[in-house]
Amino acid sequence: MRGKTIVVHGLLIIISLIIVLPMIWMVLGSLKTIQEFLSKPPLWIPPRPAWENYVEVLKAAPFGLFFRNSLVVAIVVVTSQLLTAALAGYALAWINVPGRNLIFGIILATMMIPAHATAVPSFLILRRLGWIDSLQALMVPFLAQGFAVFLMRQAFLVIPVELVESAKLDGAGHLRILFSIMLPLAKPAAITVVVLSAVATWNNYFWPLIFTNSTKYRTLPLGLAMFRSQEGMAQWNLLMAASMIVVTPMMLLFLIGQRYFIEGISRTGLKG
Amino acid sequence: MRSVKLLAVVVALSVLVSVPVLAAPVQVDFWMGLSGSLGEVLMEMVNQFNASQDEVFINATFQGSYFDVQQKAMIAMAGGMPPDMIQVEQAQVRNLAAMGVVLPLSDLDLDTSEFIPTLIADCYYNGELYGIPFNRSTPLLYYNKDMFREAGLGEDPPKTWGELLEFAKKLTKPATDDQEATWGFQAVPNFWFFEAMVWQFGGEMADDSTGKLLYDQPGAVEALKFWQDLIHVHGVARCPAGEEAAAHAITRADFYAGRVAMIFDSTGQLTAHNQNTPFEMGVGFLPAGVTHAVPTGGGNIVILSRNPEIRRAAAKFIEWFTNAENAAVWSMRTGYMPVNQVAMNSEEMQKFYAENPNARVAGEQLQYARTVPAISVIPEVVESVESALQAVLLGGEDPATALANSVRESQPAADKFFRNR
Repeated sequence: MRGKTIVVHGLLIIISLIIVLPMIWMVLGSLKTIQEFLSKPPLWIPPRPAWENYVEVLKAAPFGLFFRNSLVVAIVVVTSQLLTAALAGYALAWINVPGRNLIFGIILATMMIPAHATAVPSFLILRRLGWIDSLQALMVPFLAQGFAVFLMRQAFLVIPVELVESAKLDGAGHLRILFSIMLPLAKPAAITVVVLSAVATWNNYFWPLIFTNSTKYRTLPLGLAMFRSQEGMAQWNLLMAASMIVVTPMMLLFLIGQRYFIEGISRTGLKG
Repeated sequence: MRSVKLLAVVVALSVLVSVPVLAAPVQVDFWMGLSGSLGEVLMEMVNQFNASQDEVFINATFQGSYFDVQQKAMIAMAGGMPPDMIQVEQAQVRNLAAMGVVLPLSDLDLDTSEFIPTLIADCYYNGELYGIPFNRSTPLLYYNKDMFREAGLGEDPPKTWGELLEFAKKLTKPATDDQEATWGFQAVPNFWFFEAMVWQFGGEMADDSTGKLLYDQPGAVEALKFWQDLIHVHGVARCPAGEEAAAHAITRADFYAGRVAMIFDSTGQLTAHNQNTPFEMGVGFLPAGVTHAVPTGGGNIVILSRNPEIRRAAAKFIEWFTNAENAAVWSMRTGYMPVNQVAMNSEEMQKFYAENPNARVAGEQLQYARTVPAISVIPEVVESVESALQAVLLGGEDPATALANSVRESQPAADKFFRNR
């Protein structure tokens, strides 16, 4: 038994190291000079951490501005997706509306359509609204999301019916039941929605590329592209430093939310 | 009396309103595909143009790689809000023309007499001009003169592939206690360099009128076999692994550190290489096989706007950017070739060449330049060719088999492309 545990743990440690290696390479790479970065054999620990890479990055592109745009877009989109998913998920799980399954099916179907396929129709709509090259263009199309609705509905379905019944007897309305009973009980699913939607919004390259033109509405992933030059020399060390700035908030969010995140996935996976 | 007053007010108002409107410059939205130091030079020149006159304002913004710019422009166009002018990968002009995305420039009455014919050739489609050469490059042989001298080879680059092999043998040395191993030649296994080699060995990539792929034919197979032998039979060359940008980075790092004596790279890298090589660097033509031949690369500029006023304004900028004086400035600051013949022969450029003889080579090599075939912009074909190159050069697969498989695999994509355009 003990031997088996050691083998299993050993394997897991090796796999974890392989997975975390690119991260370590990024962290160390962000602190090297370009010569150190390209040296052969590869140099792991730079003799002197080149913190000036970060200063350089912040000077080379308006990363402060990109960061703020990314943050605004992510907060609005995540909050809204959670809210709409909770409302829709509750209605689909607990309110008997005619055609409920059909509606749910249509919502699920939206998950199958890639963003690239909706780009042109979205462009036409956003143009009519006069929103091309604006932050709204990055937020409004994403205020509700099929997968989030699905996750919340599944989480609400497994809540014991007795809780809902007794709340109804005490005179609670739908909103009260949703926000005072359902959501707190479905915390793992809600946090899963937050993490997934935050990561997807944060990393989105395609949408801001298509729908914003000017620097003032750009988000972080597009800022990263500025460090990859066409035919020119990529500044790998700066690219790593910029990547650090981009991924750190998401890593923090994931670390904070991971306990619930794993629970959320496993629960909704089992039931429903 | 009252009506006269009213009239006076109306006239005064309309003058007030209309004067600033008349004086406002025509704005041209220009999406560029260059960032980093090249993008900075371009932006500076745009600013200089804007400051030099008050009729046209070029609103230049960086929108990602050439691919990003084009993808974005296509969607914006379908959505009815295209940018006025974009920078595209050179071989794309004919495709955009074939798809009806860009209109002929015949309405603009541009003087094309000063352009270098080989560079403007790929802007023509069915005899009409659709784009203008903007930032143009070509592959070159960069070599380490210090290593050449040490190996007793003199100053000059190899002229043929046979000579390159002889040189590489002398430049390859195993590692010793106090020195790293060195080798003669290294090139990124990409479409561009392969295309050059295929032509040099007498082959063709494709029939440019039908899209029939021809790179499984004898000349092409011989070229790849030669490249493979340099690595696997003679052991005098290496092939960098990895995704293209990484393979370039490895090759450049090896070259800068004196581990490899000869590499292929774009003219666009000349300035960077000058700054990063701690030894005396030489630049030469790509070696000849049965013949000399090179492709060109880089970007052209096209006007998407249909509005005559904006088209004229865009043309003003293009004329300014490609005139003898500015084409020379752009070339001297970036390493791209001057697209303008007069610029190439200008006193300033000649003086610059006298001081930087390496910068002259790209222009001289243009006599051997050929127009790249349209298939070179089909992603499926490029990917398939490059994975065949990797399988042969890294994995040791048989060149004839690998190329035949690649042609079979990507011919449908080429057919579809030619049917749709």
